[in-house]
Amino acid sequence: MIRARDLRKAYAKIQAVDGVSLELVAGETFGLLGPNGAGKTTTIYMLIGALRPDDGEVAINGSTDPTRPDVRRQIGVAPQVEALYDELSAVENLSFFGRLYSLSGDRLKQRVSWCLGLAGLAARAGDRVKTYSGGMKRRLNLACALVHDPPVLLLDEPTAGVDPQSRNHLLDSIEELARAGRTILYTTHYMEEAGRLCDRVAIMDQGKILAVDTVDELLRKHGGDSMLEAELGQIPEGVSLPAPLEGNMLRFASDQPFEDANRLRNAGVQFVRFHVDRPSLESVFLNLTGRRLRD
Amino acid sequence: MLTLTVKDLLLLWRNKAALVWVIVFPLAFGLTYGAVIAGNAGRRAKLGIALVDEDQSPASKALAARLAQHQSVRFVTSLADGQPFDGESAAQQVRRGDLTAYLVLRPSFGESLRSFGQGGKKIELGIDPSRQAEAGFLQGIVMEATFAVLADQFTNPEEIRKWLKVGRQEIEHARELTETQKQILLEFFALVDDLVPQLVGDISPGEEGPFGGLKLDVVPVTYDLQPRSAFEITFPCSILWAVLSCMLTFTMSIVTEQKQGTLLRLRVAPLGKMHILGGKGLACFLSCFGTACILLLLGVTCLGVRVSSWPYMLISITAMAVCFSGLMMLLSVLGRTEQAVVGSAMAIMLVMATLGGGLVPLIAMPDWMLAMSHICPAKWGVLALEGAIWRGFNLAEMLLPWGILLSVGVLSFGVGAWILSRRAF
Repeated sequence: MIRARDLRKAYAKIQAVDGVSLELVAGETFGLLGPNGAGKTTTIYMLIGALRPDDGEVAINGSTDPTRPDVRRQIGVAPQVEALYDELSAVENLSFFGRLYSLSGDRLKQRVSWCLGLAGLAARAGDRVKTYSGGMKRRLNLACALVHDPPVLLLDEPTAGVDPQSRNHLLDSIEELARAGRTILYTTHYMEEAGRLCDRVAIMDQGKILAVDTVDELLRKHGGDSMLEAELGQIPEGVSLPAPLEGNMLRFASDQPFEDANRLRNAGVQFVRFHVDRPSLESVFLNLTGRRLRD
Repeated sequence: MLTLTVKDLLLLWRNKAALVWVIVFPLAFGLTYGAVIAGNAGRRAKLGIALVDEDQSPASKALAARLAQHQSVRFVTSLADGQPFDGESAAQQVRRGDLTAYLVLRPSFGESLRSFGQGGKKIELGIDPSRQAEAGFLQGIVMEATFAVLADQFTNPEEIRKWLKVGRQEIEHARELTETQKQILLEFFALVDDLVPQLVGDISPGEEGPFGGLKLDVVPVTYDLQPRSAFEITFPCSILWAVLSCMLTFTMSIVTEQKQGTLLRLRVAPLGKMHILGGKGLACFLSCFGTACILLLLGVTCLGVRVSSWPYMLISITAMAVCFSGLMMLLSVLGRTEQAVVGSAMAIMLVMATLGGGLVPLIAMPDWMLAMSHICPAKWGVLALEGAIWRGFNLAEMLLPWGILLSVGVLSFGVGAWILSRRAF
C-alpha cells in the first residue's frame, strides 16, 4: 500500500531523514516511534508529497508520484498542528475540506455527519472552532483527515498535548478505523500508544529506522529480560538464590520471571510480595539507542 | 478554486478586526479628512493672519478692511481673550503655528502711503521663512489692497484736497524754490483744487477704471472638472486605504495558513498549486473590488461624490484590485516568519499610503513628494480613481495608470507565486 525506499532529506547541514525504508500492507496500522526530532514528520511529509526527498522513492498503491490527484484522494492526513480554521465551525471546516475532494450534496452531508459523530462533536457542530478545547480541536483535526473517506491515513502525533479523556477518545476512534480496514501510519513518541494501536512499529531516531517488527518481536529481540523484584520472608537453608539479597529484597533479571518465582516458592522460599517489570518499547528504545525515549 | 475563494471571503467577513481596517477605517478616514479639507462643513480653508494696526489712520483702517474681504485670508486682530494683538503677541502666535503669518501696519503708514512709500518701510510681514509660497502670496494681496486704497483716495475729493493742502504747505516751506517758482506752483495747485469735482466725476475706481490695475484671468487648466466637494478628493484616498488593508489582511492570511497547518491540508488535497494560490488571489481581488465599490457607492449616494465616467471607474477599480492582489502575493514571501512578513508588509503599506496619496492627497502634495510618488503603484491607483471622478481624464490619459496597475499586479503575482510555490510546495 505504502512503500518508501531509502528516503533522505537534509535541512542545511542537518540530516533529518537518513535512508528510511518502510513498507505498509493494506489494513495495517504501522507505528513510527521516536523522540521529537527523530525525523517522523519529515518522513510523513515526503510520503504525502509535501516535501521532495533529496533521494529515495515513495510509492502509494503503485504510484511513485504522491502529488497525483488520484493518489491524494486515497490519503487522509492529520498534521501534528491543529490545521483548522478557527473562525469557521466544525461543520464548515469539514464541509470545506470535503469540497476540496469533490464531495457535494448528500454525500458531503453524510460524511460530515459521520465525522462529527466519530469526533464526538455533533453537539457543538455549529460552534466556531476558536471556542473549542484543545482536545476537541484534536478530534476535529482527525475528523478533517477522514471526511473524504480515504483508505490510507497518516496521523502525525494526533494525541500530542491533549487531556487523558480526549486522548482515549482519539485512540478508540483510531482503533475503530483500523478495525474498518484502513491502512494507518501513526507517528508518536508515546510507547503505550504504539503498543496499543500498532501491528508493527518502526523505532526511529536521528533520521534512521533502527528496527521494524511487531511489538512482541521488538520486545523479545530488543526489550531485554523482565526484572523480578521480591520481598522475601523465610528462606530455607541450602536454597540457591539467583542474585544476592539486599536486606530481605531480591532483585534479578529473567526471561522467565514467573517460572523462576514458582521454582523458588516450590523450594520453600516465602514471598511477602513480588513485582515483575516486563520489557516495554521504552526499554527497546533504550537498548537500541542508549537513551530514553523522552530524553 | 471557488471553494477556496469563498472560504477566504467568509474568514474575512468573520474577522471583525480586519473588517474595521477594510471598511470602517477607510470610511472614517474619508469622512474626517474630507471635513478637515473642506474647512468646517465645506467652507474653503483660509490662511490665518494676525493683523496689527499700530497706525490707526483712515488709510490703515481702509487697508485692513480691504484685506478682510479677501476670500483666501482670514485676518485675526485679537487674541482669544479679546486683547488686541501687538507685534510681539502676533509673532508668538505665528511661532506656535496657530496662525500662518502676521502683518503689522506701523505708525505713520497712512502718511507714507500719501507720499508713495517715502518715510521707510511701514508694513511688516512676519512668516516662517520656509513658507515662501505663502509669503509671496501675501505680498501680492497686500500690494493689491494697498493700490486699491490708493485708488480710493485718488477718487475722494476730500482726500485729494488734503493731498493738495499738504503739497501747498511743502511748497511754501521749500527753501530751494524761488518766490516766483512758488507762486507758479501755488496757482497750479489752486487750479487743480478748482478742478477736483470734475476730475472725480471722470475717474471711476471700479475694476475697469484707470486704477483697476492689471487683471489676471485665472483659468483652471489641470482638470476639466473641479472637485465639487472635498469628499471627491478624499474618497479615492479612502479606497486606497481599503485595498491596502485588504492586501495586508490576505498577506497575513497566507502566512497564518502556513503557520497553522491549513496550507499543508490544501497542499495534500487533490489541487494544483495554482488553484491554491489563484484562490487566494481571487479572494483578495474580490475583497479589494467589493470594498472599493461599497465605499464609492457610499460616497456617491451620501456625500455627493460625482463619477464622471462609470466605465472608467469600474476599470480603475478592477486594475487597482489586480495590482494589490498581485502585491499581496509578493508581500507574503518577504520573510520566512509571520513577524517578518507582517512587519515588512506593514512598513511597505505605510510607504505606499504616504506616497500614494493616502495621507496627503495628490492634489496637495509638494513637488518632491509628487516626484517620488511616480514609483508607487498606490499613486497610480488614486490617479486612476481621480481620473474617473473629477480629473476628467480621457481614454488616452487613463491608459497609463491602468497599464501600470495591471502590469505591477500581474508581475508581482507571478513573482510571488513562483517564490511561494518553490518555498512551500
